[in-house]
Amino acid sequence: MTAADAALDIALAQRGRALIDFEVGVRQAASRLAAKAEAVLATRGVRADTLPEAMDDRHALIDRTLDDVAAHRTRWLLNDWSWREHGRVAEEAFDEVRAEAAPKLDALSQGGTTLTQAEDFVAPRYWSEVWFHRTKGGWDASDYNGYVHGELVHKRYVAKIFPGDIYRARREVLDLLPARDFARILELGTSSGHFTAALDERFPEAEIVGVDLSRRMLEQAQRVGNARGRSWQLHVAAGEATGFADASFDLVTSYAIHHELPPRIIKAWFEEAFRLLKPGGSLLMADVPRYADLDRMAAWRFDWAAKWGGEPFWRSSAMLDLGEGARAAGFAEVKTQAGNPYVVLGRKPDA
Amino acid sequence: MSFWAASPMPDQTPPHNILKPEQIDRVADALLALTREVWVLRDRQIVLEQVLADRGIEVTAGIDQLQPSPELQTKLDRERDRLIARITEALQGPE
Repeated sequence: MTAADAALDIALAQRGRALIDFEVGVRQAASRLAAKAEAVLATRGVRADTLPEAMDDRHALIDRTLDDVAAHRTRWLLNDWSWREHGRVAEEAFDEVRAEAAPKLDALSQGGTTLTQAEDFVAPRYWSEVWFHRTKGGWDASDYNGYVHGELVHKRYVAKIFPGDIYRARREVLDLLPARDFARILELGTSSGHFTAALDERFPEAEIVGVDLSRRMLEQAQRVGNARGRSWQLHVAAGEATGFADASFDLVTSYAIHHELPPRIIKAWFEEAFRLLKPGGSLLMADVPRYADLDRMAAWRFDWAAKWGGEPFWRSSAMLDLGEGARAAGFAEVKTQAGNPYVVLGRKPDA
Repeated sequence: MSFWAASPMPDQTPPHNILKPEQIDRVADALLALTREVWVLRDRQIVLEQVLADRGIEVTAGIDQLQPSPELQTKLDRERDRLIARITEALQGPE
């Protein structure tokens, strides 16, 4: 464990630790049941190559086919439970150790990493009125939600239920950038700072600026920056209206955030990124896989989880070709890479 | 585009009833199985703390402070998964 990780690590008490572990077990059990249900689909002739094109029709066919399959309904029940409960039990786990944890976290608000918010800032409704991931009350509902979700949920739950190393993926995606240093980097959708840390490690000389709509998440990113002894500049602001000067960044980037945005906002993000980049500056945005790159069963799996798991913009986002979005905003040398994450790269033409 | 995000609301999921009426008995089975497991654990914890107290060892604070080693975590994960499997098997009913 690094010194920075140790500074952010809080020992949970037995009940909180066991509560979160239980949620991990429920999700893993749900995954095993999902495989069992899909095996039934295959025996009944429902496969990727026989599914209809329209996603709503795919849902309807699979729902009809699995209507009498207890493994499917039990899997649904377990997933529904875990989507509702994972944030709640992480909050309970934090509350159990709050007296010791809060002063430690509060101390990490001091340091070179700053957090500002404009007095007249009003969060847009596409964010303020949605309980993403079915988090009761939304991202900023409780005072230490940044730590609860950025650390407890992310490291003790999400990292255990998703395949691969979700932190290494944030570092490997940076290999796709042109081999050059960036003096000033803007991250849109900083959240609790996991990708910010990857950027900071790869470009240690760069000035790093991050924006997000969630003050609670940025408070956690500030703790991460200070635990690392870094001087990130964090702002509560919308990625589509950052307020920064034209041509003031060398790289504009984001990781795993587009699926939380309506299509009109994604379009606005590309336009804002183009405005903010210096001529010759780079764009790198990574997000969830495109449905067009997946077979119909794989796309349905993502869509089913999005439908029931508190991801109201996932489908509309995953059906967008972000390469087209980048080109429409004026970017040149646009390239996309299929996979998880899906990546779009571009360059603002020289003046 | 026809999908569930037409108008933002706090919880976006459509109204839904997951279990079918004929599964309700299975829910009762699951609840009993869970209650049984919880009791076994409570019984074991009470007995354990009494055994240790009889030998002059106070463990309650130590239980909260202990952070599992990788070996203990593996054991806990295995036991927890067995518990969840019993519940999910009960919910699904007989094969």
